[in-house]
Amino acid sequence: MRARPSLGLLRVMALAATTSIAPGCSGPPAPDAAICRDVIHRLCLPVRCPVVTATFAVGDPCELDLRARSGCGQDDFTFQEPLTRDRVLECRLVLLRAGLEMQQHPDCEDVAEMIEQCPDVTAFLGGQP
Amino acid sequence: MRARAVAAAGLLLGSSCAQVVSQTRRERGQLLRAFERQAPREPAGHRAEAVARWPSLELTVTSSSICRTEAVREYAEELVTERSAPAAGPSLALGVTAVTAGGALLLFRGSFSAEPNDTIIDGAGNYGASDRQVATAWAIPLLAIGAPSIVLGVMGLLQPGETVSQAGVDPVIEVREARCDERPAGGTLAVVGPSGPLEGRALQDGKVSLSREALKGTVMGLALDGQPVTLEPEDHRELESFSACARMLPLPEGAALKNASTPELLIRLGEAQQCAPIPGAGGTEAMARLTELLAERGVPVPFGDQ
Repeated sequence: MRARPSLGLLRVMALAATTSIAPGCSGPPAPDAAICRDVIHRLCLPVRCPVVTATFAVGDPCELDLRARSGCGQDDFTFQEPLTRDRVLECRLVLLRAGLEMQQHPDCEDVAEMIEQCPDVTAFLGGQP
Repeated sequence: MRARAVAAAGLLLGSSCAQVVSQTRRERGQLLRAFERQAPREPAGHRAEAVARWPSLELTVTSSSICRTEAVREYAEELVTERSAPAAGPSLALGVTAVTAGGALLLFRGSFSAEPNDTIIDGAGNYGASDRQVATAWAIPLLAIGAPSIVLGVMGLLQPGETVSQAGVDPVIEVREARCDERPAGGTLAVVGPSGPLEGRALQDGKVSLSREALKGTVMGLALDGQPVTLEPEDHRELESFSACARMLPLPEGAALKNASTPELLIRLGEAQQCAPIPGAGGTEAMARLTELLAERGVPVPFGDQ
């Protein structure tokens, strides 16, 4: 099994990448709604991981279901305390290990790790951690 | 994107190292003159000549030097130093290309969309860069690297040239050696035996006369004040013959000789044969006597009729 960077290390890497790339190679901050939908999109990408189906008890369409549960469907959505934008971004890093592209399916192991380490995000999306 | 820009920058920067290469070659010109010159003399040591005058051996020892005569041909020689910068051209060309491309991207950056790439959200939660940002990210490194590349390329093109300096060379084409300054040696001459130099005798005007007693033992060579003295082959043979006579003669008289053992007679016969060339020593007569005695005992003589 390949070694996986911890959440803390991923946070440092993300900070370094942001510092070095942001001035020339990244755009403006995405709104909270876009970040939330991106997380849901990655979780629901077919073929859906069994752990997603089991944890969130979703069928098809998965994405619309989770958007409705979390409220991400609204364009003016913002994260509310105690769940913060930074916390969601931190948990999302695990899903980005396979790649940044939106159509990049995350490894099911990474999905399971995210669900295990981020019960607050799982609960926010209506899942049973 | 940034990685590609850095790679391109590295490529351009590498080409900017317009190193100036300097090469020097020698070109031989016409012959200026040919002459001979004497090299410093070096000691050639001592040499001895041996003349046997039985019952003594006269040695004449001379000291000499080695004189070297060098034949020299002096030529004119040119040292041509060529400087070139083979990377200057490519550096200039790539610099111009980089500056042109970077300048064009910067000049027309307004033509690119300023909308962020919303198909991607990075780990920090930011959208991807807009096309305008990408164009700018390429333009600045291209300009930053292309401009120095042009400067270095131009400098490299201006530096090449050729300088010529002249010098005379005088290679030695032939050396002749000869013994010179031969003079009678002074000092104390000693016969060298197996255990080292024996008692010495002072040279008088380079000459000394050694008695048969002095050369009765095994002679390894001669030494003058501790320095070896060389002998030509014929002088060495003369010394060995004289030494053989000194050891072998005189033969025991009458019954003593007849009663000597056969091995002793054979040894004496060998030394008598070696002694025979020394005039007046009696080596030939001794050979005849010993051969006769051995014949009476029925012993074949190994030296034949000599």
